[in-house]
Amino acid sequence: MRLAVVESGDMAAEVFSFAARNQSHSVVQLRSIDQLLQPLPFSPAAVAVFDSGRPVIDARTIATVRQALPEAAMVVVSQADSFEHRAQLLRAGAHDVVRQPVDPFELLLKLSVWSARSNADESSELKVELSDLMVDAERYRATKNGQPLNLTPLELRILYCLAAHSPNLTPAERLLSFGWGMLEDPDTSLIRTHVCHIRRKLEKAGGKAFSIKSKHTLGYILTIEP
Amino acid sequence: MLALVVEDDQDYASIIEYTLKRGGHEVVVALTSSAALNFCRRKRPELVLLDVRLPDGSGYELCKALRQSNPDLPMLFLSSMDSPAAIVEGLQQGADDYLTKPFHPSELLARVSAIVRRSGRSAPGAERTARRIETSGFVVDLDECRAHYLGRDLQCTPTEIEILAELLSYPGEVLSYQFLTNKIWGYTNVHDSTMLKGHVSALRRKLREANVPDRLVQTVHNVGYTFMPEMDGE
Repeated sequence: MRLAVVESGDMAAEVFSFAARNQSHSVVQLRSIDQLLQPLPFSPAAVAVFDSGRPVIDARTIATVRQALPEAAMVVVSQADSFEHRAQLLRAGAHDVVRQPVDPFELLLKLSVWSARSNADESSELKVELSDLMVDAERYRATKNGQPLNLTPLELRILYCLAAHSPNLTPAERLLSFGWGMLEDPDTSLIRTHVCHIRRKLEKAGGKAFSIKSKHTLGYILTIEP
Repeated sequence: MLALVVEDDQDYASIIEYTLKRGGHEVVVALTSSAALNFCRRKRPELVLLDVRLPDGSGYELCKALRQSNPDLPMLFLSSMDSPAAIVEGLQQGADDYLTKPFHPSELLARVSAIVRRSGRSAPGAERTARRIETSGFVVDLDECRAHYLGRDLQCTPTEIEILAELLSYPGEVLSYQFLTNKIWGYTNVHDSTMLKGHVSALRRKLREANVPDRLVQTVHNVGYTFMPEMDGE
């Protein structure tokens, strides 16, 4: 399942993302709900929003997300106690609104069932093609100019993320989240070595020339050279 | 602080382990009561988290046995059994606290801190500040972030010092790439050793410059690294 987790600094959300990855789901971790409306490495089939309560996520925000992701299964893990608030979020498009603490495995099961029912997980696969470059993050395959790229799993996830955002900038935070599964204390210097290896492997494969440019402190951009 | 987690559900065991590691604890998971007892015969955990239902017996019996052999050991039940009778039984068998599943990870860490505080043991942070390793001519002070060999400053970066400290802490044992990546950076799902190899290569260069014999830090091909201390008389 392609899952987006809005973490809002909640440790329970971080543990939930960890549990989802352990069960082989593709996870993108986000700091705030607004990031759901920005380009992501994939179109999520399920969304788990952990509401930190600062500020409380309102029905209008949920309705905006529902409009942007009409098929996605969405659960809000709320700290608010009031029935009225829960009812508003449900009316705005959430599949469920649950209170902390949550069982991460039960939540994953619910999201899997709901996303399968809405066929949201079949709408697209984790595969990107750019000119003669193909990256399939689900099957761990990447080819360029018809040749396998022999990337490590981490390099493959980074290249997939770059290709999915191309020609736009991929934020460093997104690369860390998709590559390493970390949002907290991201150390962007980790990415540099791996990008360097990816550049070398792309060049070695021949064919269309690609460039991965660094935008200091922001992230990286993968583009096809003219 | 070394925490023993006794939990037969591997999914739950992994998230408890993840949570405790984020709280700065070292974690060992035992899937059965007998594995937990075996572990306690070899090492002394400083904290035990245990489930009530275990495949080879009851967590209550395990708790009672551990309490008899170690009256000061902080123990916490973590169970989906939430009836008052189950909680009372757990506490009567010697547990310091009882938390029901599902739990919030922050609450788990807060309860662990509280029972450790009550037992008079040091918190993980306090333990770390006192960490200093002296062996085979090396002196590694994690608090001061310095490493010396036979009095000579190795000029290591903080990451290199952490790697060296891990290797020195487990003499003769092979530390896998994944174990070291997890210990140094906290990443549990990284199966790529490039980053670690880069730091070990830089560390080796500095060790060589300080005339540290190459045989002390050895590569175990495709597995990891090991520190082989010199025997007396060598």
